[in-house]
Amino acid sequence: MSVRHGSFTLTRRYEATPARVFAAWAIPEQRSRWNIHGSWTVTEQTFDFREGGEEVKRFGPPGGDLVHVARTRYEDIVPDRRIVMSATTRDREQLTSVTLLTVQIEPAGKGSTLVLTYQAVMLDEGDRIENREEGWASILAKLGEALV
Amino acid sequence: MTERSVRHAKFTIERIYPAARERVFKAFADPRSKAKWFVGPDNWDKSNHQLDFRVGGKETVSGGPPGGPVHYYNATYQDIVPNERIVTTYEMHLDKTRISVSLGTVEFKAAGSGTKLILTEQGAFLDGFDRPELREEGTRSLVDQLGTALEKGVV
Repeated sequence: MSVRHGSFTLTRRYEATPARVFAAWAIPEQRSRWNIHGSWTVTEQTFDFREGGEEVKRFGPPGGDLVHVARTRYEDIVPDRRIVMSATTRDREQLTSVTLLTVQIEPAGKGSTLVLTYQAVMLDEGDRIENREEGWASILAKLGEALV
Repeated sequence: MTERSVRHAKFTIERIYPAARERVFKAFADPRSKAKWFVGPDNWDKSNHQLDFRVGGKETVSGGPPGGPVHYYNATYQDIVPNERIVTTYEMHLDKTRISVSLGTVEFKAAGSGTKLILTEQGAFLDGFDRPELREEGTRSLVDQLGTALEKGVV
């Protein structure tokens, strides 16, 4: 049994309006283009982008037999401005983390600034928060490419 | 456009209770026990407390000063390890306004013949309607009320 609390914040500037950045999260076809890190693949994803909505995403490394399952609930949504989510992540059956994820989008010149704040409790050494930070940095870079 | 803000914060509260871990855990797990201490100040109006203590289960309670705004607590149980730990996510509303979303962890550790409780909250406080300092103060009151309930033998 172990419990480790941690958090990190990533700030990115995009040459896209807040409405476009928000749409990239809100619209399933758009989110599917970027919402997985590195070379990992999503094998299953449900969408329910509304307050109280819950989604399931199954994903893992290419060719690997590790199956990760993220269950996300949308806690607070302010169009073009903010998304707050809670989530659990499992490595096969083992619960590895419970997280609170806040995405804030602010206008910046002709573009936007996105601030992602990740707060988590990491459980039983199932994963390290440093891995999650690397993962989200990769995902936000992909979001930037998708917005070009 | 409405003024929007988010303040992220974390606080930890520790208490040692002269009661066995099983008893302290039960004060969280058993709906009738939890309702005895998980309440606002004495003068607040209260609504009925609902607790479905299992992974994926919900807990709701509301209350507030007479004639004042109503505070709503809506939680989901994310992880339960009997006598060891409980992880919840919860949101709070003040009347119809969502004021925070939080991640709460409670750890139960043996401390001699008693129990050390470690409560950690990580939260996103929304639009300036609430402050982490107030939440910490309110949470301290709750764990003190738990201590009193354990001392009196009502939980």
